[in-house]
Amino acid sequence: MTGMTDHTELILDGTKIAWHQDRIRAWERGERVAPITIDMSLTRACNYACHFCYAMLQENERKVIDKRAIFEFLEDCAEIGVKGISFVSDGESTISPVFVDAVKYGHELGLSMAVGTNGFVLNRRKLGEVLPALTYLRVNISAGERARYAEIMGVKEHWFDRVCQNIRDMATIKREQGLDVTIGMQMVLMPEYADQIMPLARLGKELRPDYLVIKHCSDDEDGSLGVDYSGYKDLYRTLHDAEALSDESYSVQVKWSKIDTEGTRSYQRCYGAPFMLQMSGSGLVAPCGMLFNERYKKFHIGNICEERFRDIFAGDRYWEIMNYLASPAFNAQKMCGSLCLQHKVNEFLDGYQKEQFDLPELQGNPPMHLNFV
Amino acid sequence: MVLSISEISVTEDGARFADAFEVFHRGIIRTLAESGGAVEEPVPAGGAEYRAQAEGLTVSIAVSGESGQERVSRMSHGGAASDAERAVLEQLCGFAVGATPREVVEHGLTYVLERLRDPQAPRPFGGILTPRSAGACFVRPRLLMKALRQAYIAENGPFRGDNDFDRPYSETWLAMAPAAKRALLEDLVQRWRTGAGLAETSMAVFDIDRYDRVIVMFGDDVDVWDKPPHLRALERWLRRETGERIEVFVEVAKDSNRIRRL
Repeated sequence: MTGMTDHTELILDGTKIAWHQDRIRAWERGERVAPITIDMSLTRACNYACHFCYAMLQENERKVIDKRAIFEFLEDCAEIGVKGISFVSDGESTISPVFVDAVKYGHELGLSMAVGTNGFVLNRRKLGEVLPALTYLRVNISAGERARYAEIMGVKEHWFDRVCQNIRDMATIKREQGLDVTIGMQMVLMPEYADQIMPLARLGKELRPDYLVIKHCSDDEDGSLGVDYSGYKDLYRTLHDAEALSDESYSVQVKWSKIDTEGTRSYQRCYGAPFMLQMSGSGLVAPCGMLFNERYKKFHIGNICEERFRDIFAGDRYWEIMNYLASPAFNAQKMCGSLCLQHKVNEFLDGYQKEQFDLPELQGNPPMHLNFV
Repeated sequence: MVLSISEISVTEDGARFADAFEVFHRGIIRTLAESGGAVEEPVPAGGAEYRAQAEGLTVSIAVSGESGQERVSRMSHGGAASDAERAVLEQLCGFAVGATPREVVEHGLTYVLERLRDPQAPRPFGGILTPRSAGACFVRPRLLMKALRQAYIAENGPFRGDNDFDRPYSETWLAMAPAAKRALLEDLVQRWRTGAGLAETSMAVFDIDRYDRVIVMFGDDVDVWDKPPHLRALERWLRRETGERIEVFVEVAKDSNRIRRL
């Protein structure tokens, strides 16, 4: 799997790591490579109570990311060569008081910025400020009907109406201002939400974001959320029907490559974390979200509320842990949850490390959202 | 020639092992001393045998077991051009016995890195140590493993499914009663704690779960950023002392968001 076959469109089910060969070459020479992408949150807090929420499993010692901390962090990212920052991770970043300023400042520094949100506290004023600074804005919405939305997302029914209006406004602002930002909707699918696949796909067709992506639900290594991975097979026909609702400006895409794996991993080492780092809304720097919980303290590297990120990145703690993940001491098949953020990057780098293929020759134009690998 | 650690000083190693980073020197000496002058010619073996060569290096593996359950029963090598390269291949042969052929070609050299690396010596560079970055003595062995993969696939077709080979706990460990395991692990934790200069109240075993994962708790006197290196050092110690892949954790933190619902 080289990830080089589907680059002419927006890649929602794959990896763009092969387009960053300078950094891969530096990595294999043993150089300290800066992450291409950092996924983080501005807070651990959330105003929703989603049934599928993995963040429930990610608790760690909380610190507050204030304006000084996030601005210094963004400056450090720009300095060391990070290319893209997504505010997704383990909290609802839009409820942080520094949200709008952080997006705009990151953009000013030349970083590609992106957001994943439940979309509730956004409004036309905030959208008008942040959309010009964003590469993509993705709304998590795992139901297409009010009552089921309330059940699955753990909120009042009328919140559904407000979120739908905000998505309409995003599409309108994008169109009116001619912005490059990609507007997305995302369904985190557990087999028991199957009745909402088609209603949501139809809702998207009405609201007119650029895409709806339907993805698996992650779980930890002990199966705490109870995701039935074998249950996805029964949904394939419905998922194909949803994809068939795509038109020239609205794409419904299923993350088939992850759903097909039934939660398993083909690799044992985690080579992806240095390229695609995750950080908690507590300010914690850890290799990936599945290792945020205090339980995984041995993998915790630092906290941007206490220490500059450039110093954390340059320190031995950071590289000792990255080396641990690349060593036989670590086995992602046994010691990690399912289908992590770095999964596709890991697949690619593992195949390359095992000499299954050489780095592919780059052809054509780079894919969209290149800095979000 | 059989080498012993006392015969070669670290200073001399620098010249002798010019194709190996310093972090591997002691491991190379130890490996060659323990090998006792390995027989380098491939040994005929029962069952299926696969041979490969790459740029003058040769390898042979004997494989036995039912289809889909094959394990390497013997592996030998030839053509090593230096002590460092010989040590790499010796370690690889040692790792291979009991592993699947796929495991040998896909992960063998990663394990060799870990076996040769001196844990007390600094890494040769700041980034990630992998077979690709591990220096000259790994270059031809990498090609050799690629050739062995091709030789195996030529006979058997492509590997199917995922490589999830994992050496399980030993039979001795599995046969131990839970109370005996706990007593052993608690004793080891206590010894490590003493060696690390930590007070009795600074760290204790909180639980050992059904997968023999050790969950420890820290006292308030331990600084938050001292905990991660302590945990990793303790894990290394437990693995070395038991020979088992013991994992060390601290207690799970429950979600603090009031409105979430797990």
